[in-house]
Amino acid sequence: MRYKEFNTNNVLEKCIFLFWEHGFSSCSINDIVKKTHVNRFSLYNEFENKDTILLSALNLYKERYSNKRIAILNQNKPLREVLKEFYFSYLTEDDKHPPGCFIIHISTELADDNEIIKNKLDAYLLEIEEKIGTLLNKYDETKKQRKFSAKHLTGLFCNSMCFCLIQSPKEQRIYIENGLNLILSKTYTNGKNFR
Amino acid sequence: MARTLDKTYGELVEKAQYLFWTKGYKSVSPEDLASHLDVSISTIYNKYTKDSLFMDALDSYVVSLSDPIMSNIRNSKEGIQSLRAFFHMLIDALLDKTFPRSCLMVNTVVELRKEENRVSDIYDRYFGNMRASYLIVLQRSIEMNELNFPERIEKYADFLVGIIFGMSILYKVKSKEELYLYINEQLSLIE
Repeated sequence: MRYKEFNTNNVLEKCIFLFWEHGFSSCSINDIVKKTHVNRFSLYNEFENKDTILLSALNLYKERYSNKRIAILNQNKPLREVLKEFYFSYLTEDDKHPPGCFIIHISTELADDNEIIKNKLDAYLLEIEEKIGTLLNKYDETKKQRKFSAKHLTGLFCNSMCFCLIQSPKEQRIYIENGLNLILSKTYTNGKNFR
Repeated sequence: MARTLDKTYGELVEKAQYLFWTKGYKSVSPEDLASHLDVSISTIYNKYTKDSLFMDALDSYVVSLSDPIMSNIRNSKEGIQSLRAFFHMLIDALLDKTFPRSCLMVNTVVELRKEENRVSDIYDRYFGNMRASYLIVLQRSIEMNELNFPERIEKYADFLVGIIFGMSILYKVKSKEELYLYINEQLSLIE
């Protein structure tokens, strides 16, 4: 029996980077072999095909990166601070990933024709909407209209994951704060408008 | 015998635009382009490169698709209603695949970000024109007494420019009714 000579998650980390930078469709198995230094035979043995590599990479990204960011929404801090931290956690550049969200990036490319990716995107956005709803439920001023606000704050998430990619950090901050003000002001109505 | 080029450059750009729209920039190889445009590979390498076809495809998206729509919005007599009509039209185009995959400009933003200066110039023109058009509509809305806080007009314009980005994601998972409602609610945020 042969020992597996590579760590699956390390390989998937490299694939996340590869697909994110070059697009899934433009990556061949050869590109994956070159990037991961794992030979074709072992790759197929572990993952079956390119599609399964992508799905595993998406799952790993969700577990390792998205879940941590979504957990920001559980914090007990002023509402706007929590939301801003959540949005910005995706936009802060690190050496590991480009700015933005891998799930949104891959969905932009593939969700129209790929049912599995589409369902993943759907579940992801619903989870974010639900977690934002739970957060809004903790504050008296947003409790009542939490469903409405959660929907539009999720919309703001989608906007930010694309629009903010071409904005300077200052423009990003202005855009997100402005969006938060508009959406949350709707819940502060009844004469008492937010400032 | 060498094939002669019997198509105008405009026709080639239009065909290339469809390919970039459905597949993105990076996934299209020069060979894909040659076969899709039905020209020889040397034409793609020597005469019309992938890069110039892509830039011209983006440019034509702005000039022949987006500019006319924006000018309609600017010249409309209506206020917020003209925006509602525009976004509803966009939803229809996304869902019935008149727009084959999302909005070409949004796809490009997500795929290429600001990697290249030439793309940045097109973004500036496209989103600048969009914002200016929204501002004109908002001015009209103020005259029609549709806005509660006219002094926030600049902020509203910034907010409106962002909407097409989220739409380009949401249409993939939401129904037409949900999207129409979403847009109506988004616009209610500024009314």
